[in-house]
Amino acid sequence: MTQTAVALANTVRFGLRSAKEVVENTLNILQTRDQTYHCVTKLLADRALRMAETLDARIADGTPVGALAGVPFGVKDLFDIEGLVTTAGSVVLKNNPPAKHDAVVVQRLIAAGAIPVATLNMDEFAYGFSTENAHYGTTRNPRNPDCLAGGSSGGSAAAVAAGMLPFALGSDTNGSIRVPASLCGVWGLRPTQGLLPLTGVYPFVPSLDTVGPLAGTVTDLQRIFEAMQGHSLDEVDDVRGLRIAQLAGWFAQDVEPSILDGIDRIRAFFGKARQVELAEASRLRAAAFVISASEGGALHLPRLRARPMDYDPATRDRLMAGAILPASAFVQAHRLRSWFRNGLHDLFREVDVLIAPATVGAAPRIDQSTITIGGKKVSARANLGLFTQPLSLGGMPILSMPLPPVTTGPGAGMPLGLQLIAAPGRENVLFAVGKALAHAGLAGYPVMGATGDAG
Amino acid sequence: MASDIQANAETAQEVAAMARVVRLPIPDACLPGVIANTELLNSYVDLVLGFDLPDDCAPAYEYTP
Repeated sequence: MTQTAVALANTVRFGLRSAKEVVENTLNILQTRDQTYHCVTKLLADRALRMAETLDARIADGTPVGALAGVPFGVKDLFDIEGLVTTAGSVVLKNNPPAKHDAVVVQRLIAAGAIPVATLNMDEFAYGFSTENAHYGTTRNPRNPDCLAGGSSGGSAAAVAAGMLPFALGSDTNGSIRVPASLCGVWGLRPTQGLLPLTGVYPFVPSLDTVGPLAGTVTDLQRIFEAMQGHSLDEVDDVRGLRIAQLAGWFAQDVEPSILDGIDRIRAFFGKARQVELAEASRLRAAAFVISASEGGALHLPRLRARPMDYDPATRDRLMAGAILPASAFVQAHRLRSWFRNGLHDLFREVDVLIAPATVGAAPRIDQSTITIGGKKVSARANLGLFTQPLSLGGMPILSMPLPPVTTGPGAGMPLGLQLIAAPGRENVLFAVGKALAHAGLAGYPVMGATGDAG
Repeated sequence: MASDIQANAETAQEVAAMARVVRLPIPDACLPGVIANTELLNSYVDLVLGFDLPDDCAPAYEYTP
């Protein structure tokens, strides 16, 4: 039986279950059930059990413990964990020295009482949307193991969706939290660019990288984000009075009808939601590709020269192509980013929340190489970021929100997700909208084995 | 088909030249994948460079809300 992080912390804080019992149970679940999904790259069993015993002793002493007391969690394999080599889903870094400290956001979660129990699978160096890793295997979607989990934080999203972990950490450069969260049917947050520290997180594209949580409910997600940020969010008084707008044009083409139906229901909930178009979305996406390839390629250039064959072939070929891109394209892409950001700032003077699909449809099958976009067959994997990449450039906070299960249409039986975008630093608005929609039955997808609400 | 082969050969020459600039040896086994990715990236470069921006629009390397 899967409990939410908030419920689990309460049972531990009030002595109904020991943290050690919770951690032992979680490790057992990961050892047995993960054989089907391949989310876990390392179990942190000894350390997790020691931390649980320490926490139980503090509770027995009456020492105050944090809001996430005894809650086990996993981290994408690019967060530093003290004493371990951070491999970032690769074998290229295996001879690096072990991390001297946990990543700062991991330290903050531990300070709130949470206990890291596992590192989780990802695309090598976070460069992909599928979590098909030549070194560590393919993470399978718990909703249908024949389908992709999405990536690059696929191990994190799948472990939460499967009900094996109450929450997990991921990173999002071009959509690497939002895509797998959507395909696996969990909540995820790409916070405002620069809001959470990246100290102890292996970089991919430093000017676009962010880290954030994935969880089974929006209430859990907010609690975890608050612990990562270090303080509580302000309340939003009048959620129904917020100015909501649907992103049309680029963000409404080739989309699974059930997703558009879900957006229509949300627009009706708010009564007067308008539609707006983001100009030049295809160029914005192109700019995200150019920036990612250039910065990623430059970061890896010394190792690409020395030992290219140690890389996952798919990652290596992308990085090499990026490393040789001309500087003028990279600089122009960043100028385009500046232009887009100024336009978004203007738009957020008129609206509070933008709504867009996270992906064009449900998770592709692992053996499916193409999807149809604009009447053409295109790579399924490369286009999973069609709607997330342009928005990454803006730097705004984006909530990945699962729609409720649908029973008819091409997407029946598999999760579908949306992006909610707010002005910089307005994560509180996103959580308020997410909670209102979950309460109204317009958002949320139950994690496997859950007995409570999905929101 | 003939034009595809010619385009591919042109991209291969471009890859070889640009790789020399950054001192990146590209093993033969990697070349087809690097050429394919370069062709894809070139289509994005065309989109990015094809958009006129005012001279005072500065690059945005970091985000300051």
